[in-house]
Amino acid sequence: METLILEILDKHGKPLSRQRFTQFPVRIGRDYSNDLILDDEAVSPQHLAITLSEEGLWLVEDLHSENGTYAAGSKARLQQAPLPTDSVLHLGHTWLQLRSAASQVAPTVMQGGLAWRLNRLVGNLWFALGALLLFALYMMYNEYLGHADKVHASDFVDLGLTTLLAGLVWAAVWSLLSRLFSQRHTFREYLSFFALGMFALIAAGWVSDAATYMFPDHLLASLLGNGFILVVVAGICFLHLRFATRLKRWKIHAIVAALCGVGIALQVVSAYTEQHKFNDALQFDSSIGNVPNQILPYQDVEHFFADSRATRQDADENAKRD
Amino acid sequence: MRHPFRSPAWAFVLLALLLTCVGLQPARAAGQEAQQVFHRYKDAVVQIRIIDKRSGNRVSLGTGFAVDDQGHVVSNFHVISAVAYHPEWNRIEAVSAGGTVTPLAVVGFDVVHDLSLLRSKTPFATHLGINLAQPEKGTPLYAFGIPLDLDFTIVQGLYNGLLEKSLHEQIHFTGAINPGMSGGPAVDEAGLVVGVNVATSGNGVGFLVPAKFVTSLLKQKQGAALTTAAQMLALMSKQLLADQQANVTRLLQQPITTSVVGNYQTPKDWSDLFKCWGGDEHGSDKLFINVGIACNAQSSIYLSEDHQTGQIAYSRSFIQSKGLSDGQFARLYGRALSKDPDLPDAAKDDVGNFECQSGFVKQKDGLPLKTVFCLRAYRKLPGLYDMVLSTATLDNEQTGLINRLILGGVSYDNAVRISKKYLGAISWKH
Repeated sequence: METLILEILDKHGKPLSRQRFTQFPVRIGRDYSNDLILDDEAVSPQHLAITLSEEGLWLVEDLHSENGTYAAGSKARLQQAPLPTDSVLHLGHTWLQLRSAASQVAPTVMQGGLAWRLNRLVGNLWFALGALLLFALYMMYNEYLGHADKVHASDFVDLGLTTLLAGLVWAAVWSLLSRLFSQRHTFREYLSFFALGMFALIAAGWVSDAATYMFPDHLLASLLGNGFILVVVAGICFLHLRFATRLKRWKIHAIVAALCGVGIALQVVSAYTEQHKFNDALQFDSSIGNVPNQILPYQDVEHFFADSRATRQDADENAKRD
Repeated sequence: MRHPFRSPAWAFVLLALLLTCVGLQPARAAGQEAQQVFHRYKDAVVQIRIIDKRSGNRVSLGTGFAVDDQGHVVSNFHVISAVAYHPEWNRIEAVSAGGTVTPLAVVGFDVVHDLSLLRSKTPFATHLGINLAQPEKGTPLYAFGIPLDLDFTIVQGLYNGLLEKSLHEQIHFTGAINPGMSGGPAVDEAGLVVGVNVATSGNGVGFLVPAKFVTSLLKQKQGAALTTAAQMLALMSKQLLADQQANVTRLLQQPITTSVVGNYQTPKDWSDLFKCWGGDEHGSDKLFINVGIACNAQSSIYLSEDHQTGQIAYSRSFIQSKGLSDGQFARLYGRALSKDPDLPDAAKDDVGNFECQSGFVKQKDGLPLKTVFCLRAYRKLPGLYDMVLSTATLDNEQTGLINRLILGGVSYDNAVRISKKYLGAISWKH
């Protein structure tokens, strides 16, 4: 005895409800006489019927509906056609997926696997709070490094509290969005993402600073450094969107790629305006001690000034620019 | 030092001071002398006005004096620099004590010593001779001019010798030189020009361009008038390139004496052309000391209202931690290196943006330095650059020495040469 399971999908393709049928034909429409009643004003009272064909396919027949029935991805109005299991139909505003016992499900997430452990970890409240606290402490340490006068730990308490608060607000806003768009409880996850994301950004910043410090005028070093930061930002965006929405993976990828594109474009534009704006300050990387002095690429005086011919050319270029 | 012509606000203060002083001083017999000198030579002195051709407004005012019976007038370059840059927008006229207005053309100038040579089609009634001999210190001189556009004025003062410890010689004149008097003659009792009014430091300390540079300038008399900006800029370029060449050559010949600071040997004196000032930073709440010294050759040359060149300066700051963590010290040290030094004045029209090159240089004795070499090119005077060389020692996590050398308006080759010499004077303590 063949069983048809009809799934009503949301616009992202996630099932909203399922119904099992063993009696054929299954009639679908807005009218109360149907086997599956759709509350969709664009669906006809008697819209379509599904029976089992002799070849084991689902025979879908449109019952002269006003707006028609379409197989997903096709623009041709469907009259009567045999469709395999897992096909998707579009009628009115509704998406229907035809399932049977033969339909495949995704493999079980194994308890103890890496993905499962990570999921558990970021969802752990104590882990999330610990990471956030650690980040607040880092912020305070960073502020302390900028001081060259006598300071007390208490001078940095308000910065630490502000950081904690920022993390909590961030997680609250995103988990609210997540509740709205994907009906999930993700506050702890976002708290973890905030702290871990910040640490990843700091690490990428270190790599970037070290690269520009060691090779100050090399385009490759600055590209590499900025590239690292970009990858981390993209990763953070991806995770946030993945947990907050029910968007398909490729859509999230596209959004993240677009955001990165906008970021790169802004960088290029600001570099361009910087170059074309008059500035009588010296512009160079003045940082010191980003990497141990022993591994710096040292030159002798002659080689350093041999490179200055390029600097002269660049200065000449600057003077020709309007 | 400021050009009196450029800072009217100061001038009023100075004028007020001058008036007070005059009021307090008892009448002297010298007063009669001044009257005679004034009446005898005032007709050789003219007010120089720079007029905007379109609006007819006055752009700037100065003083000048006739030097021969062919209509040649000498003034400062800074009085006519608006014409040098934009002869198509501005013209020059001379106004005599009697009120006669005569148009003037630019025949030549000496931008380095701030002199200009102008020519009128009609000669002036009288002219002044030049005194090339150096007067005794204390000799009375009479400076002519039209301060603040008031009226033809004579100021009595004293000759106080040549400032020889200078790349551009000037006469120290004790007397009030005020805005508008720029380019006026300072004559001795015989009416011979000893110097040309050029600048003031306020409080009766004035500066004159020595008359020998007027004599050199007069060699440009034969030339045709300079009518285009291209001609003027070409002449400026030539003079500035020659001047920086001479200055750098002179400095390259002079040894740099070093002194010990912490664990380092660092430039201290570099000929007697430089004047140095100390600047220390410490306080009870600070966990470091910063001992600095800055030296300047006071060789600035006026090109336009917002463009100066010719500066030569070097400085150092020695920073030592008094209980900072290594991380804190590295941040503090980086901030000290990023601090913008006193750069030559310049505007967008004059120079391009700085281009900096950083690297890690190991000195001959092994002292590691973070080295930054920056250049910006002049837009209208090709071949000239402003240059900044900065170094920071990297051998210690608790102390550091930052050295800086700044030159305005040098050729690239000279920038590199002088930077190498300066770098060579930084090392570990012998």
